[in-house]
Amino acid sequence: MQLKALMQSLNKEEFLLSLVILATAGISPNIFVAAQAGIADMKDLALWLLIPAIIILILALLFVYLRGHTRLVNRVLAGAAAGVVATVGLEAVRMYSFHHGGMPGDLPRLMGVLLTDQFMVGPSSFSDFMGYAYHYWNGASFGIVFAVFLGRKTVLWGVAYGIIIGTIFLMSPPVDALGIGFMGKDMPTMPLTVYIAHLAYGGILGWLCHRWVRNEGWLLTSSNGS
Amino acid sequence: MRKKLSKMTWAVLMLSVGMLISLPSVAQAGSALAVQVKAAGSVQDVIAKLKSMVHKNGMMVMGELHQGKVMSMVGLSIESESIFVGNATVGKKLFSANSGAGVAVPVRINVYKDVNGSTMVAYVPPSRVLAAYHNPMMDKVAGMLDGKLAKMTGMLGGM
Repeated sequence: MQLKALMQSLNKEEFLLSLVILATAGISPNIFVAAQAGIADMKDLALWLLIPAIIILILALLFVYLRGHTRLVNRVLAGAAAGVVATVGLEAVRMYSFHHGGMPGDLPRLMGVLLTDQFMVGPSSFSDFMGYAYHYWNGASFGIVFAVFLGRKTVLWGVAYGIIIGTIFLMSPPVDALGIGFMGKDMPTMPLTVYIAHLAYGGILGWLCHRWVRNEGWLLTSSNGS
Repeated sequence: MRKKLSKMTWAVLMLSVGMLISLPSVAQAGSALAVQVKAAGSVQDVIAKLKSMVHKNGMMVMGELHQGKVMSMVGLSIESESIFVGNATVGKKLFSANSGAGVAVPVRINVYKDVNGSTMVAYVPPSRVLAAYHNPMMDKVAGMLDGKLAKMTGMLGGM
């Protein structure tokens, strides 16, 4: 009964467009995981999933704007921008740790050689650019998911969100592939770095979204605030 | 009896001297499996010379592995490059003799800078890997490949 009332109060078009945006934003972080799990080559996943997902997301955002769903436009743009800025914070921690031996590898560079299919040749300026672009797009995507799903929340929500992302990452195939044990137990500086980096990401994301996202309601709250 | 003992003593002595003479070269090789040759020039220079020699010796470079660059992704700074060489005819003969020949060909030649700053060229002669198959055809082709590799790498030191 409550669900029925909730659905009736929802702007169904905005809700469906939100789902499309959440689905397309969710593709990016998962292709690296899928590639490391041996499901498919990352270059193929990027070509057949990531690029179409980005195109659909942009078209959906344009449609959202033309249809006047200002709340959703604000959330997508604020979430993406906050996600990119928050990734700078994450990168500061990650790069410091990597250059001091706290991380087993340089993940954005690894993503770059996998995306450009040149692992044997090693990283180049182009593969580094692609790797970092992908890494920052992931940051933007997680920001979009946070803002569209949760709306404006406090910094603590961002911190919790960052910890969840960090934990899921530590349990994922890319960490297994690094050969440092489950959740990096054989290299304690690695999970420590991941948590500090994602705390920084989540903190910055939560803080910026609190400032830039205008509406407090979450995904299932009507855009008129009911 | 005295004469026999004397002959045996001489044989043991000769064998010991032979082993002693061969010891330094084994130690220099650093590995009983791989052949290692000291080369003149930088790693990049030697790779360039090798590529040229490969083509002149009727083979081709089938792949490259820039291990120095790859290892930079894990924060290690080394100079190491590998090329994979072979040719279609040799490949056809070996794979026809045994479809497991891929463990030895194309031959991997590694050029790297060692701890003393010397440029080294290393490879595992195909005959040493393919000997395990006990196939006369493979042994013959592998022997030819060994000869070409020894000729090419032998020219790198004096250049």
